[in-house]
Amino acid sequence: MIGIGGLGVLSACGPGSPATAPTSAPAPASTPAQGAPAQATAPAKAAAAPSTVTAAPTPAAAAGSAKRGGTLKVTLDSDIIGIDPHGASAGVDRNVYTAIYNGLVAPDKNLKIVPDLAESWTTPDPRTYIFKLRSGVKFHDGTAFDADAVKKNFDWILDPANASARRPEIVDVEQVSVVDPLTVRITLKNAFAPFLSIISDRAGYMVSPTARAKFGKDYPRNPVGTGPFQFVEWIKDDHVTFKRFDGYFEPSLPYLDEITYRPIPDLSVALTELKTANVDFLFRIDPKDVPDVKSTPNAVYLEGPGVGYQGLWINTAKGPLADRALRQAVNLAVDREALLAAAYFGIGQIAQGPIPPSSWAYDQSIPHVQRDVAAARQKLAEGGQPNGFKLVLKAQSNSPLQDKITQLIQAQLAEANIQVEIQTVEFGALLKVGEQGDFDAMSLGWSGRIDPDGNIEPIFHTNGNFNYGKYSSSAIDEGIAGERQTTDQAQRKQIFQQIQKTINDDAAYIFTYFPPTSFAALKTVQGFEVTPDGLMRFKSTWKS
Amino acid sequence: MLRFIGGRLLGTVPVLLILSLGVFLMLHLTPGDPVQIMLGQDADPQSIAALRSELGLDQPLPVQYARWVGNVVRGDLGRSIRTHQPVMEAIVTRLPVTIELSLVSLIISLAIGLPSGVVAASRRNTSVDVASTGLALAGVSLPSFFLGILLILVFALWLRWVPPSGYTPFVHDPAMNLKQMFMPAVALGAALAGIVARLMRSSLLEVLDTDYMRTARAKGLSQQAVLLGHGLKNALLPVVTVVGLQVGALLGGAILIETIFALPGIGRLAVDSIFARDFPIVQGVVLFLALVRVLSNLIADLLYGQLDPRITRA
Repeated sequence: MIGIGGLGVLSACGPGSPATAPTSAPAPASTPAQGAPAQATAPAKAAAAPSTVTAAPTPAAAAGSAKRGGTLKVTLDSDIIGIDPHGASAGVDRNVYTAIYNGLVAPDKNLKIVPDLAESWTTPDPRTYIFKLRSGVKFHDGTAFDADAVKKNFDWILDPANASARRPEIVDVEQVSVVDPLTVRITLKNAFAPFLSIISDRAGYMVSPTARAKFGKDYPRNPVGTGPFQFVEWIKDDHVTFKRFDGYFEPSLPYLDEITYRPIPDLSVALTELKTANVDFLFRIDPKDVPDVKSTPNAVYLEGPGVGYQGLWINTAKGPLADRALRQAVNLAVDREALLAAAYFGIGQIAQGPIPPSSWAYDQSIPHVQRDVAAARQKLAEGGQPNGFKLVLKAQSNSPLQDKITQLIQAQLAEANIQVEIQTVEFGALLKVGEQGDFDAMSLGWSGRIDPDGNIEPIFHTNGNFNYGKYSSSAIDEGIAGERQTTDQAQRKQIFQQIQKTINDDAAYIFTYFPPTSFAALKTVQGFEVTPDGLMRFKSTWKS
Repeated sequence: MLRFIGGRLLGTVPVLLILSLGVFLMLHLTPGDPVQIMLGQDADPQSIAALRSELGLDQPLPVQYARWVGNVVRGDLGRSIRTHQPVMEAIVTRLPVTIELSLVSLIISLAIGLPSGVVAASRRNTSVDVASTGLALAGVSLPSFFLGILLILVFALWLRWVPPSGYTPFVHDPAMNLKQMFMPAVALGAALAGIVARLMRSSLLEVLDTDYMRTARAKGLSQQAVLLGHGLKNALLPVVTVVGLQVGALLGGAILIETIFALPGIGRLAVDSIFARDFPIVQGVVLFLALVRVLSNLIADLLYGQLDPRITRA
């Protein structure tokens, strides 16, 4: 199967040899060491053997062959809606934030949380995080990045008046206090193990407080961060341009002079742009186009594991699937191998639960549900429907991929005497369908979070924000409470395994597929690393 | 004349009102919440509720509509829900793209349609006629998005004459601008070219059979003078009417074409905003497009009077 183990990585060793990059080295794709080694922190201790959390030299910088200059032209699948990580944002926007913002911490390509604007951190107790900040860092507008700026950022998000989309993510933050200009202490209301992973994303990106105050509501169109690139212009529906920030805190980075992002909604047109070398880098690629990219002489296909999953949401509160045995019948009737081969063209991997292969909590030994039509029929009898039953499967309209998936599932379930009526609605309406619980089953995935908690709690906790299926299990709720209390990764992994087993036994969601993170690029693009979170990061990227 | 124009414009006010109400209701009654779509699947209910109330979307529908109409009357179309950009600004910045696209398509369709119609009519039932009408039929029948993809395949991928998509303002780089406009304009204008050619042919044939044409020929005028001097002018009347009506259709077609060719125009703005339930933008765009349609019909009517002095506006 493609892309299970190795991360697709673009190497810095010349055109045409992308597969030879060091994929296994756990080199933090972070920053040259500047500060002294710092104290260990509990979560990081669990994440990997070394007991210090500090910056290490970047492999790209060490390579020394990287070339300065040039413009990288990148496609997006739709226009961004703003460049404010703390405001409203669409998924695609996050790929632009990475050019202009840094967080206190960041995920590396193995999803380990590594230093970014924070040089090191300690957690004296599970509720307290003390960050030692990198010194001499400036925002693009000249504002100094210090403990005060960090406090202002968190306080802005936490102020209900600003209606920040990030507030719920960090609502458990009790207080952010300035210890000294380069030290910040964040106190949580209660122990929350996923905290570092949460602030490695948008909630922890640092925005210039000066620019925030100056531009107010227009900030999303006038963004200022500390990142490797600074904002130049945004012509809506046409392009967003960033240029190299000469004052970036990692010496000699970035290599590129400029990045231009172009929203091209039609993926086949975007692919033609790549083939004709009008763009350098393709964001998102249809599984069906992968063979085409691979056979294009000047292009290369990049793939690594992702963080999300695909499958069917199940209404466990009403309709036929409120019956556990009938849910299990559906689970047994689905042919995941066929889905992978026919709908996803063999790209990616079959899912056995909510925790994808990129996660430290992933357990390879858990088998995925094997199709067993006889067993499914038995479950029908057990569920009091020996002659089968009918269910409504909702899915997104105008999506060839979803059409294929739902039709395959319809045919597969029919063989087990389960009649599926497919109803498609446009994506915005589908989210509403989910929220209102107006489905028996719904074909929709979960984009995924870095911490496994984020792939489970929202969907399967009784009070989860996305518990569309109204699933409730005291075992799960207790498990989540427990894994959040401890920062010991081994212990958490054990709890997650138990949770995963319960979800599967209850068939609370029909897991089918782990989508990979995939991109395509011209062979002239060097030094790009695929991160499982699917975001494009270009600070170490260069053009040969 | 001025009174006529004034009356026609005044008559559009109720049309626009009914239209905007219809669009408003359709958008709001369609399931889907702009805030939820904007914040994405991963957004939690608290932030959705906070943003909804900030945007006034938690108000009853009549209140929302009345507020919108009140603001429009004062010249304020509101701001985009997604980007906070003023609706007027969003439309105005995209206008040049769509106007250029429509204009170039119009020119292309007339440049192809008129001559081929005239040639077909003057050589009725010859192979030239058959070829011309066949092509016209193809132009009318081919869906524009399909033609667009075909053009990309041929001119961008195989021949590499033009880039596959994108837009460069004319003032920045005229050559690149025209290169990028070529495929979308042809894709959009093909249908109209076909319509114009067919209409021109039949209209000219009709005119050619009239008494005054025979008189003109009898006077000893050359075939060319008869055709172009007398025939064409009279045959153009129905063509002008139809082209006037088709300008609206061009704008409609621009919606698809702009999305395929990644042009930052009004059509793409409309599509994206509909999917995002960005109500203020959709309503602003619909209002604007309706106005354009009304105006283009009016202009066609006025031109009609110029071409045919018998039509007066007493």
